[in-house]
Amino acid sequence: MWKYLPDILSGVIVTIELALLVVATGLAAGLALALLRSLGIRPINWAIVLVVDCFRSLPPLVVIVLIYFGLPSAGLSPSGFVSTWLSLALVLMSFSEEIFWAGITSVARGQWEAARSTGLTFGQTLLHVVLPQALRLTIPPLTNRTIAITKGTALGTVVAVTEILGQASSAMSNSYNPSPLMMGAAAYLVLFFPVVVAARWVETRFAWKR
Amino acid sequence: MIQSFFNPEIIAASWPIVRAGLKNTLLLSLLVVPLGLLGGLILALLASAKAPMVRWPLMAWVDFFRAFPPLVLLILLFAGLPFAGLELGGFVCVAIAFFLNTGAYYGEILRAGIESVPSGQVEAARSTGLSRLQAMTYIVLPQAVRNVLPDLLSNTLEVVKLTSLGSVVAVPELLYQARQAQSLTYNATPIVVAAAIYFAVLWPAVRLLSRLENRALAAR
Repeated sequence: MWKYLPDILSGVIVTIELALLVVATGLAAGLALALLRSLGIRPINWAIVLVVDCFRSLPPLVVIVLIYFGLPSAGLSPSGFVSTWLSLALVLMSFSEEIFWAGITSVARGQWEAARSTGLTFGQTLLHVVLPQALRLTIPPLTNRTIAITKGTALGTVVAVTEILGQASSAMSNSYNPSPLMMGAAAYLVLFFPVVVAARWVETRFAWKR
Repeated sequence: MIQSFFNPEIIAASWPIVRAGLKNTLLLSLLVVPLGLLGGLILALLASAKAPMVRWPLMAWVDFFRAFPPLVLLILLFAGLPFAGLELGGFVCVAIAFFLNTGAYYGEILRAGIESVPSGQVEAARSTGLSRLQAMTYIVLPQAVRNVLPDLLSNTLEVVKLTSLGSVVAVPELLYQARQAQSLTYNATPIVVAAAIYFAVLWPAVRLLSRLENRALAAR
C-alpha cells in the first residue's frame, strides 16, 4: 500500500494547484464582473446576467466535458487540467458575481449619496465606502460556495487530470486493492477539513450578524 | 462550427438516446431530492436537541461531508465497496451518496430554519397542550421552511445538477447518454444538446432564485 503514497502525494500537489488557481481566478473575475455591473450600463449588465445564469444552471461536470471534448472540434485542444480549471473558475466566477453584486446592492443608497457629496469620486466611494461593507456581508455565502466549487477539482478525474482521485483510482486498478482509494479519501479530508473549520471561524469572526 | 456543434442531422439521430437520458435525470432527481431532504430533516431534528453530546458529533458529521467531494464518496461506494464483498449498482451508490452528502447540506439549512423560529412559539404551542412532536410538525417546521426557502431551493438546484455525477458510475442519465451519443457519432453536438437541456430545465429556477434572494435582501 505504501508504495502508492508518492502517487497520491503528487495528486495532492495537483489538487492544491488546481484549487488555488480556481479560487484566485474565479473570485477575481467574479468581483470584476460585479464592479463592472455596478457601473449600470444596460447592455453590459444583460450580457453579465446571461453568462452568470448560464454557468449557474449548467452542472460543472457538463461544462468540463463540453470544454474538454467539445473544443477540439473548434480547433482548440485544452488539456484536462486547463479544462477543469477554466470550467470551475467560470462557475465560481458566476456564483461569486451574484454574491458580490447582492452585497453591493445591499449597501443603502444614502451611503453612496453621502460619500459622493463629500467629494469622493465613484471609484473612491466604491473602494472606501461600499466594498468594505459589502464584502463583510458576502462572507458566509461566499465561503460556502467557494468550498463547494473547489471540491469539484475531483471532477478533473473524468478528463484524466492526475489529481488525488485520479491517482488513487489508477493505483487501485493497478494494485487491485482499495487501500489507495482510502488514502486518497483521507488526503481530501486532510486538505479540506481544515478549510471547512477555518470557514466556520471566519464566518463567526469577520462576518456581520444580520 | 455548425457542423461540429449544432449539426441538425446528428441532433435528429441522437435525440432518442438523449431523451432517454433526460427522462432518467428527471427520475433520478425525483428520487434523490426527497432522499436528501429526509436525511436533512433527520439531522436537523437531532440538532434541535440542545444536548452537546448530540450537537458536537452532528457538527462533525456535517463538516465531514462539507469537506468530502461527492464524487470521491460516490467512487468510494462504487469501486471500494466491492472489495468488501458488497457490490451495489451505480444507481444504488448514487442514492446512498446523495442521501449522505446532500442530507448534510439540507440538514444545515433546516437547522438554521428551525433556530430562526422564536422559542416563544414552541412555548406557546406546548402550553396549548400540543406535544413536542406536534409543536415541531405544525408550528415550528412550517415557519422554519418558509424562512429558509431560498436556501432550500438553491440546494435543490445544486442536487439536480449533481445528478450529472451519475455518468461516472454508468447511470444512464442525461450527461452519460450524451457522451454515449458523442462517441457513437464522433461529434460534440449531443453534448451541446444536453447542456442546452440542462439550461432550459434549470434556468427558470435560477431566475426565481435570484428574485427570491434579491427580495430577501431588500427586506432587511
